Amino acid sequence: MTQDSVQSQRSFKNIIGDGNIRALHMTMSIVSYRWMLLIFLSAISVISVIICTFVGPSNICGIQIMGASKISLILTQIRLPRVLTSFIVGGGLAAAGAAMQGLFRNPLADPYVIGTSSGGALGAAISLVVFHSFLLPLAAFCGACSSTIIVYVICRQNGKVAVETLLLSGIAISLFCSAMLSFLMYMSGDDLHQIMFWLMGGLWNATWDKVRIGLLIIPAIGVLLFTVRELDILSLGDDEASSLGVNTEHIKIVLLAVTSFITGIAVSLAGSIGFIGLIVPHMIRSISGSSFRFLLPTSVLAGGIILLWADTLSRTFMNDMPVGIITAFFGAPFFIYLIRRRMWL
Amino acid sequence: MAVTKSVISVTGVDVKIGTAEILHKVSADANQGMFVGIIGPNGSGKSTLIHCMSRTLHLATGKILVVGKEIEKYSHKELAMLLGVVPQESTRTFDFSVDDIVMMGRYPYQKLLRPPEPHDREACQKAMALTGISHLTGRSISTLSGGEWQRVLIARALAQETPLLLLDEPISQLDINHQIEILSVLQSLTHQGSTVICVIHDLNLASQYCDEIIMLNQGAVYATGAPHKVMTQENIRAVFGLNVMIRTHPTTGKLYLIPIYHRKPIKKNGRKVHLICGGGSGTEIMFALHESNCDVSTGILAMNDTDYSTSVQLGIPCIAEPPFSPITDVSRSLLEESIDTADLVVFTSIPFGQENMDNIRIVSEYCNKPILLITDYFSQSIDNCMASKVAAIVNRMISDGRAAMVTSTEALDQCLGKEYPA
Repeated sequence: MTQDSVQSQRSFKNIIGDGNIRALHMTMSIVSYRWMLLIFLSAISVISVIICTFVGPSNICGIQIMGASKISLILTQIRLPRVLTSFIVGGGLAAAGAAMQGLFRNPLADPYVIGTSSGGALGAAISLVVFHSFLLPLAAFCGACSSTIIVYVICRQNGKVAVETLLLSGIAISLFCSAMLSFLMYMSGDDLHQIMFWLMGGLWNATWDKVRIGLLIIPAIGVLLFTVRELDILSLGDDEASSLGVNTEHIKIVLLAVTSFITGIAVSLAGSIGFIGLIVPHMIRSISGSSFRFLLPTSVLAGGIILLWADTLSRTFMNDMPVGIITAFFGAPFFIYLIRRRMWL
Repeated sequence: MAVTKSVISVTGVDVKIGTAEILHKVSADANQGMFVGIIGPNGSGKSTLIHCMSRTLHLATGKILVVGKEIEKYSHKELAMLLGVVPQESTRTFDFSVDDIVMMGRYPYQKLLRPPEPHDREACQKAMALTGISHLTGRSISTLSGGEWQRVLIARALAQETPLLLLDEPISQLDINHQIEILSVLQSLTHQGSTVICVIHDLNLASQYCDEIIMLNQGAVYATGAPHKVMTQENIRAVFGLNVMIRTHPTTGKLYLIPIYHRKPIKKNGRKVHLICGGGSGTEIMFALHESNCDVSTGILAMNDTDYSTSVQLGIPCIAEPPFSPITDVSRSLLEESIDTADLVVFTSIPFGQENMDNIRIVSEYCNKPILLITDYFSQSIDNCMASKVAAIVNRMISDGRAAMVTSTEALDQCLGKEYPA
C-alpha cells in the first residue's frame, strides 16, 4: 500500500510532457493499472465468448419451433467450436506478433512479414491441390516452419542473426511463396475457390477437431510467457541483451520456433488472417506500455476478443464473408493512424 | 592488500572485420580497484576493444581472461554478474519506463517468472540515486533527453553490481557537471574495489580520474601506464597530431592539457610589432599576431605573469624580469633594442601598475615609432583609469602625435599592415 502511494506521488511529479502512460499515472500506479486491465480484458473475453455463442444468422429466440435438440446442435456443434477457434487463433496471432516485434526490435514485424504465414498458406494450398486436403493442418504447419527455418538459415552468419537481413529474407521468401501460390491457383482448376477462401482467411469450417488442434496454441503461448523478461531485454538489441546476461542466440531460436508453431497452427485453422499480429500489440502498447510482462498476456486476450467479434460480425451480418477481409479492412487504416500518431508523439 | 589481483587481462588480441584489421596484437591488463581509461583518436579501436572485453565481438586470435578464467567459458548470466557494460549508443525502439530499464540490470540475478525481490529494488534505487536519476522514476524513456538516457544506461550497469564495469564513452552526451558527477561515482566505486574500464574522449577528464591509461593508435596499443607517463607532449602529438601544453591542474595537481591552436608557419608577413602587455591583456592579440605569422616580441613582463607564459608557449621572444623586482638595465637595453627593430609599439596593459610604469616611461623617453594604445574596455578618458603621473605621460604622447588610442581590432589591422580608412 505504502509503495503504491509513494509511486503515485512520484508519478504525479512527472506528469508534464510525457506520453500516454503518463496520463494514467495521475490516478493510480502503473502496475495496479496494468493488473486492472488484465482482469478487465479477461472478463470481457468470457462475456464475449458467451454472447457470441448466442448470436448468429439463425436467431436462437426466433427458432423456438425448431426444437431444443436442434438449438443445442447449432450451439454446441457449430457456434461454440467456431467461437473458441476464433478466440484461440486471434490470441495466438497477437502473441506471435508481439513476440516477433520484440525479437526483431521492429514494431512492424509480425508472422506475415518474415514469411511464416505465406509458408503456411503455401503448405495448405499444396495439400488442397495435390493431396485433396489430406492432412491440411499438418501441411500448413510444415509450410510455416520450413519457411521460417529457410529464412533463419539464409541470414545466420557467424552464429548471429542480423535483424535487417532477417526481415529482408522474410520478404523474399514471402514473395516466393506468393508466386508459388499463384502458380498453384493457376494450375488448380476446381480447387481455386477453396484456395481463394483459404487465402482470404475465414473460420467457416470450424469443428471440435479444429478446436482440439487449436488447443496446441495454448502451451505455446505459455512458453512465450516464460520468456517475457528476455523479450524486454532483447528489444534493446543483441549486444546489450547479451551483456545483461541473456543467451541471445538460444532465446532467438526458441522464439522463432514457438512463433512459427503458433502461426502454422493458426494458418491451418483459419487461413491467412492479417493485421491481428500487427495491430493488437500496437494497440495494447499505447494503453499499457511496452513491457512484455503485460503486453503479451493482454495482447492474447485482446487479439482473441477482436477476432471473435470480427468473425461474429461477418457470420451474422455479412453472409459469412472471410474474416480476413474484415480485419484487413479495419486493420489497415487503424495501422496507418497508429503510424501517424507515433510520428506526432 | 588485494590490489594487485588482475580482473581482466587481454593478450594478443586481433580483430578483423571483413578484410580490415581493427585491432592488432592488443594486450592490456586491469587490476582490481583500478580506473582505466582508454583514449585514442576516432577509429583507433577503442570501442572494438570494449566489445571484445564484453564478448559481443568474436576474436580472430588472442585470449581474454576475466578473473582468471577465459571469457568464453562463462555462461551469459555468469558473465553478466561479473561485468557490466554501458554501450556507446542504444536505440529506444519501444516505450519502456525508466524503472523497467534499470531493473533489466538485475536480470542475471532473477529467477524465472519470479517478481523482483526487495534487494533487486534496492540495487536499482541505489544505482538511480548514484547517477542522479531518481527523479526520473516512472518516466517513459521516449521522453528522456540524450544525456538522461545515457545516465539511465549507466544506472542499469550499476544495478548489475559487478566487480568490473566497461563503459564506452559514457559521458560523451552529458553536461560538464554530470560528466564530473558520473566520473566521481565511478571513481568512488573503484575505491570500494570495483574495476572500471572506460573509453573517454576528453583527455583532461581522463587524466583527472584515471589511474591508468591505455592509449590506442590505429588498432594497436601505443602507450600504457600512469597518465603522466602516457599523456606526454610527444605521445599526444604522435597519436592525435596536436600540440598541447601540459600543465598541472591548480587544485588537483593532475595533468592538464591545453591545446595550442597552432598552424604551420608559412612565411613571415606584416610588420614587426613590440607588444607591451600584462595580466592576460595581451594574450588575444599576441595569439592573433602569431597566427598571422607576424613578427612579435613582448616585454618587459614579470615572470609570473600569464602573458609571459603565453609568450613562452607560443615561442615569442619575451623580455622578462623576476616577479616583484624593478626593471634592470639589461632589460631596459633589450627593450630599447626591440623597439629599434620594431615597426610598431602596442600597449595593452591599461591600467598600468607600479612595475609597468617603467615600461611606459622608457617608451615615452626612447621610442620614435608609432605607438598604439588599446582601449577596448575603458572610456576614452585617460585620467580615470591611470595614476596621474602615467596619465600625464600618455596625454603628452597623444598630443605629440606619437601615440593613438585604438580598439583592438584597429590595432590588429595596423599591425598586419592593413590600411585603415581615415
